[in-house]
Amino acid sequence: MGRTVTQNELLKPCIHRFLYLLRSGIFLLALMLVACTARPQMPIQRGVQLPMMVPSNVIVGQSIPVTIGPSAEPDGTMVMLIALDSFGPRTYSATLSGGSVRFIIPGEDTQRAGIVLLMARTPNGYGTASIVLQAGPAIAPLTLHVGPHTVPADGISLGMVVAIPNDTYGNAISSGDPVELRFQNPTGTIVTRDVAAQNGIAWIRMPGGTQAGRMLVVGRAGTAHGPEADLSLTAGWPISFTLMADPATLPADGHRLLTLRTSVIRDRYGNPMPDGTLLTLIVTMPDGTMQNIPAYTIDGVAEAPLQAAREPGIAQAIGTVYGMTSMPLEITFSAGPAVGKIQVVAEMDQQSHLLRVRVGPLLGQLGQLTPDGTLVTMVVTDAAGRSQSISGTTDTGYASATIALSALTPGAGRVNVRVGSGQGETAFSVP
Amino acid sequence: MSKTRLKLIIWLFLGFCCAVIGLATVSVSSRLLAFFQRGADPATALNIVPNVVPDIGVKLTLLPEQGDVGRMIDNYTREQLAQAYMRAWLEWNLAYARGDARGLPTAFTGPALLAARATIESAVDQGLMVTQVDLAHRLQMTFYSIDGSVATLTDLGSNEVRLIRDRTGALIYTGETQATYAAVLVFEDGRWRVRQLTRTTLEALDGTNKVLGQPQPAAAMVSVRGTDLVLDGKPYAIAGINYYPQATPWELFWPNYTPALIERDLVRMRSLGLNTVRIFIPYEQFGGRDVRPDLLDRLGDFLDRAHANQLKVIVTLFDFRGDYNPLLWPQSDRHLETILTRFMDHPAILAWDLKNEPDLDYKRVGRETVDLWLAHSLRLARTYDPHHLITIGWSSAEVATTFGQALDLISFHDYLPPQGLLARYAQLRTALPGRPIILGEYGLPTWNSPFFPNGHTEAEQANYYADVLSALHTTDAAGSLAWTLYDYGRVPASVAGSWPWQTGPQQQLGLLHANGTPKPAAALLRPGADLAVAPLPWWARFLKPFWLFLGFLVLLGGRVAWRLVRRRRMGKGWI
Repeated sequence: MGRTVTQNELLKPCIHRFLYLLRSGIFLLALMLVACTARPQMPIQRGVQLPMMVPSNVIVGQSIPVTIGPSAEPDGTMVMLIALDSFGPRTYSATLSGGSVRFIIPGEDTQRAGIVLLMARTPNGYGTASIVLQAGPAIAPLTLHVGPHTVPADGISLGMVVAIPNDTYGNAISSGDPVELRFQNPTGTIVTRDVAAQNGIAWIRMPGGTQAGRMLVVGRAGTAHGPEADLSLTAGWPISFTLMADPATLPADGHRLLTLRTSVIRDRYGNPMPDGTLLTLIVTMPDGTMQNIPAYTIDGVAEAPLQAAREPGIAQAIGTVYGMTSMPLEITFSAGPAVGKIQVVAEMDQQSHLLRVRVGPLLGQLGQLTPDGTLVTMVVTDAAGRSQSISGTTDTGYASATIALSALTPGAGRVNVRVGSGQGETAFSVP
Repeated sequence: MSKTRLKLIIWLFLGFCCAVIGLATVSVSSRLLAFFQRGADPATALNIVPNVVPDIGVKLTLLPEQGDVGRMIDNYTREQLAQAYMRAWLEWNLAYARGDARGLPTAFTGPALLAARATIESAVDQGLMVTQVDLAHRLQMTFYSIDGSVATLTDLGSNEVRLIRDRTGALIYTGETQATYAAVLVFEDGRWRVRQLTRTTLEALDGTNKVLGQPQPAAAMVSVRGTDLVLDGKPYAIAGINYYPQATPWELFWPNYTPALIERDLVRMRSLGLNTVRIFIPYEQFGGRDVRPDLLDRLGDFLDRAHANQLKVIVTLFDFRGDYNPLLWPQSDRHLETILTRFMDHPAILAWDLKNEPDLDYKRVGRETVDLWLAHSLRLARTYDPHHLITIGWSSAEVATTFGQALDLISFHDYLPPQGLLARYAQLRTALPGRPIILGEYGLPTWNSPFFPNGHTEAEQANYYADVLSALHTTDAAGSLAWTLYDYGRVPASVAGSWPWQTGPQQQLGLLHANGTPKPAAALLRPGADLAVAPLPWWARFLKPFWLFLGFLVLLGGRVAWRLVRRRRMGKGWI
């Protein structure tokens, strides 16, 4: 029989367990309280007004003395100074000594122009002040923006030059600071204009004038100079111009070239069109076909080659640029290259079963041989009346071509030849 | 059930499970396979940063150009320049928020980029956490070059707010400023960028006690004369009520707005002798920045009906808005602007209550931040509506001194025992002499529960109202508004919590029962009502379910204990 368990012995573990649970609970509760409690935020004590002594104006880059006090707070009290300039805050801290504290904001923290808000705070005090940081003098190089870079010298159009002067730290110079702008016109005259900087820039309109060329622009702000900028002044809208052909006529050989050339194309003030101005030549050939030939001006003149027509007749050409059209130019393509009656010989080559046609000599108007390579077309008509074209090119005034006899109907046939205005024919018989 | 059938069922079940697992495996693995084979979304290759962030709500005012600006500025260019400037501010703010200047080259160039970058890096080095938000800009273009490559503008009213915390997270600066900036913008790589930025003027807007300027009430609007409210030249003592419809309180009110019910309730208020009603505009529900036109129309309908019933309305704004992050201020500004400009001439409005009990957010958000937002919103409210009074519904008389000089009407809430009300009021009056003061909320619930001791009877409620109103009548208070008209069936957890002892009292704070029948206290609100309510005997407080239930439990316990003792004495043991 076992030992009798007393009531105390029964209760003991229960009490221990209860106390354990209680301790754990208290611990967990404390833990939760700590975890859930928001981080206390110390309110900003506006409190007593702190006197602040600062200069009202300082040039950027200079150190700024800031004296705070007198304050009734004890020596050793921490004073925080916040400087909020155009771009953001900087903080400084020091301790009160003798009821006041003196900060020196270093020059590297005062490089941005504009108004700076200064706030000082102690545990029981708050003070504000403001200070204007003025931009320093402009430094080289002075940046000039010229735009547009090219304007017509038509007496109306304007260019513009914008100077953006900076001080050493990149601040725009103060409004009202003078900027000198000098222009040298294409005629060589120099014009000087003084402009006051406003809102960080100095600008002026530049009249284009009536003289095409290059205008140079130079700026200066105080002792700061900058590189030159330029403005191209180009001719304005063209006025009337003429078109000419060189040579004036050509034989209609389909090979030779003539040059179509404009007169010097100028604006109303006599300025020639800038190089590279596109001119379009519109040529109507004797057979009615049209050609658009681009041409670009050099020294105000545009020119382009034109190939001779195959058919004799008159071609018409006009030039057009910026909506201005020249008077029509007529170009005559004379008959040619051969004239008169052309000798044609047709021979049977029984061995090779060919009909050999030989044409020549082909002679020009002055009796000269036609240029080598002139195309000669021969029309062969057989006994059945069927026509076939064969062709050859001239070599020293003669041209020849062959056709297989098997392609021809036996019987009497004819060969007709036409080169330019020259004609010839002959007969043959296929066995 | 036979053994074979049981086996069959088990096998079928196992087979079904295997099928489900197999299908799930195939589905998941195929999705994974598809995911890894899909590659990048082609749209991400065109990571085009929009010029304007869609939900930015910064107020932009474009002023007409004056004088020679170099070249005529077309609307498109003006808009592009303004957006580029706004974008620069946004990038700047974001750079501060992230402590990283990477985004700045999107909007800055040249010296301005160097300066902004250096400042942000310096702040990071110093351990400063800067929250900077621009709230409004008034831009005037001052120059635009002929070739469209350079422009300048002046920001004549840059409104900014900044919160600066030190390494420990403690606020070392909070402030709102109004500044003027001169900016040079250049067109680079197809977009405008700020090349120069110089602040030329700066005013710190410390609104804590800054007088906003007197409202200019139009005809039929309530105005202030000393400590009194005045309507049509006569003193106007507010006898008012806080209101939600009985079946659709709090967030259910405006979505379920029923004109017929509203009309009925307004008639009931009028029949109770009331002249003022206080309502609430939930910020998020009304659309936040983009106020919902349909709800705005409903508010207009409510005001029209109140006017027709000769009731004035105190409209409480920004209800349930607890996020005071400055990045969201522009949105609340637009919310305020939309509502106030719409109803600035409405004769039914007595006052705009800017926020209900904002002091309760002090602990969570920090007093500086809350007060900074309140000061900012107060200033804006007066700008948007120069006619109506502006107040804030503080949760206690103690804190109601905040912005005392800036508010047209001081409003505090008091749910403490009425015995100390006079002392609390006197303290407030001493701090704010010469300002009209109203008790914006007070009340006593008639909720009772057998399990919780804090119940009250309707008779106690009537006594409470009689005590409060009697006390107020001895002061120069400009009136009071009871909480609330009805008993409600449900209360959102966001109002008072979700425990029964929290929601119960909130449900039964009304002067009318849920079925519309009045409680005894309802008759006391009418101006000139007889407040001589018979005092309750001392024992009446125990005639409530809790005490009766407690008594029953005591009796029951006593009975059980007696039986146990008797058994023990009879040697039968405890059980």
